[in-house]
Amino acid sequence: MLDQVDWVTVWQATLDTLQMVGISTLFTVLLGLPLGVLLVITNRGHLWENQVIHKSLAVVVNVFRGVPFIVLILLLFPLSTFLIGTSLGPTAATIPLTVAAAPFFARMVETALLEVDRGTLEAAHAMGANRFTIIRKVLLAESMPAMISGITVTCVSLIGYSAFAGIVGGGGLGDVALRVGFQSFNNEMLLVCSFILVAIVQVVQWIGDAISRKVDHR
Amino acid sequence: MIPRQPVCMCKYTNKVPIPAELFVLVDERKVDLCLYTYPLSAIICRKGIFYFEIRKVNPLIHIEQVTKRYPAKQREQEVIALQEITLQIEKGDIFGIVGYSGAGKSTLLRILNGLEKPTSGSIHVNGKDIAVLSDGELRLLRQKIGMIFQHYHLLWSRTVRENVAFPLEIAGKAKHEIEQRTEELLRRVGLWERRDAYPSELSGGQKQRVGIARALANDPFLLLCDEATSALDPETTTSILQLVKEINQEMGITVALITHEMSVVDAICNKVAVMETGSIVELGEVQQVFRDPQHEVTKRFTEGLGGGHSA
Ligand SMILES: Nc1ncnc2c1ncn2[C@@H]1O[C@H](COP(=O)(O)OP(=O)(O)O)[C@@H](O)[C@H]1O
Ligand SMILES: [Mg+2]
Repeated sequence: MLDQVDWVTVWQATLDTLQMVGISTLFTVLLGLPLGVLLVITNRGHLWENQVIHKSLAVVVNVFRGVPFIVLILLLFPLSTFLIGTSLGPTAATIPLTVAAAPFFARMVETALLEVDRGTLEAAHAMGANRFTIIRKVLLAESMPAMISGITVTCVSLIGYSAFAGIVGGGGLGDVALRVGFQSFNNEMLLVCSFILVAIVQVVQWIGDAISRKVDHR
Repeated sequence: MIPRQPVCMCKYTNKVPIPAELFVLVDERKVDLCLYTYPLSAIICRKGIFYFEIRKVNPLIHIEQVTKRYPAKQREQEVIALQEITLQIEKGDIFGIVGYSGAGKSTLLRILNGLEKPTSGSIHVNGKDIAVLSDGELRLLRQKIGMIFQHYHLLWSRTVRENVAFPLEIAGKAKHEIEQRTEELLRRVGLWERRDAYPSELSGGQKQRVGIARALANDPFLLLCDEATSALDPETTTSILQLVKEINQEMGITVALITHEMSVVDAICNKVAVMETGSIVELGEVQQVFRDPQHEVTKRFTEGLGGGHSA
């Protein structure tokens, strides 16, 4: 049982995947959060109404979300070469992963922020809060549970994406599952790699749900 | 109180602050002075006793000919939410604004703290024209105007105490000061024991108390209440109104409150304005208005209270 599994390779691939997913989740949030906030506050009647910025951001986000992920990855690999000199390995893969996931996350941030009660915003205005305070202490603080769910969903998607990214040069579990598992007829490797991917998704979901529940006081 | 020998009587508009020279005149020349400030009241100065009473010199709030239009959108027609509203709210008043839904009550209240800009007309708060204030100055003014709402509008993500701390954070208060002040306020509204609860764990009346504590945090001179008791049961309403009344009397905070229940006006207001489709159709002392309602809407509102009204 499982004697065809090369555990060293699996372990290395797991680490690569975790690294890819971890870093790209981090940067996705760092990039997508301000993007989502901007999308919301530049909308009509909001904190910093600006139709030009709003419309252009919306177009950019939609274009990136419209292109299928696998195509986007292929298109973006040259960007990694340009930025860090190589398009191979898990670090290089984080760049297309981030660029692909950030607009996706930005939309989720937008949805989360729009759910914040308008009345609460009005109360903050009435108290004399400035925009920055309202964004930080009302919009972001009040949408925390939705935001955590958004990060969880994004992270889970990135685990899936990272398998793709792995196949086209990023390494990790997806890559090993394809090359060692599928193409070399090593079903056990294929199975183990898949299982680990599922397990990672499950753990991320658990952690996300737990945090989301903890910050949800509604 | 009428001075024995009025020396000068001058007509004076309340748009201009009383010039200091007049007081100098009173001080140095020891004249008696009766300054008539139409339509409000008189300043009376007496020599000898070195006593003068200034009443109602400048109303705390003076709204003149304020109109607010919401421009037409694709489907909707233009809305005239306020139509040439003129009114004064004096320091110490509990000023009731009554009217059916859509009459423009909330818009009028939001005009007072600059949340809405009037299409035309002027608003003076504390003698200052709020139209000329910069954004920053307007925010500072708002910190001194508390507001409470029908649906409380508390922050779900914060505990009771953190909610009350919020306006203090906005005002940039130091941490120890915030701690001290929130304790004071929560004890005042009777919620100190629930300080670490989240709003979702409170009853409606308790939430409104948190709202009131929050509104009082920065020592406001004015408290705006938008249907603050409309979501509450009669008993809770009574206790909240009682609290508002105490705040008015003990802290000298002027109150402007919106309601669609005449019983609320009856319970705590001294002045009332009745609104219909953007206009004030009746305005005056509560007792006067109740005794002798003129307008159809006022009659309908006062009907339910019965003839045996006592104030
Ligand atoms: N932001 C807005 N845009 C367009 N119309 C508005 C807006 N706010 C209020 N109105 C309209 O102005 C009128 C008065 O509203 P409001 O002051 O909320 O009335 P009330 O508080 O007496 O129920 C209503 O017809 C309402 O639809
Ligand atoms: Mg209203």
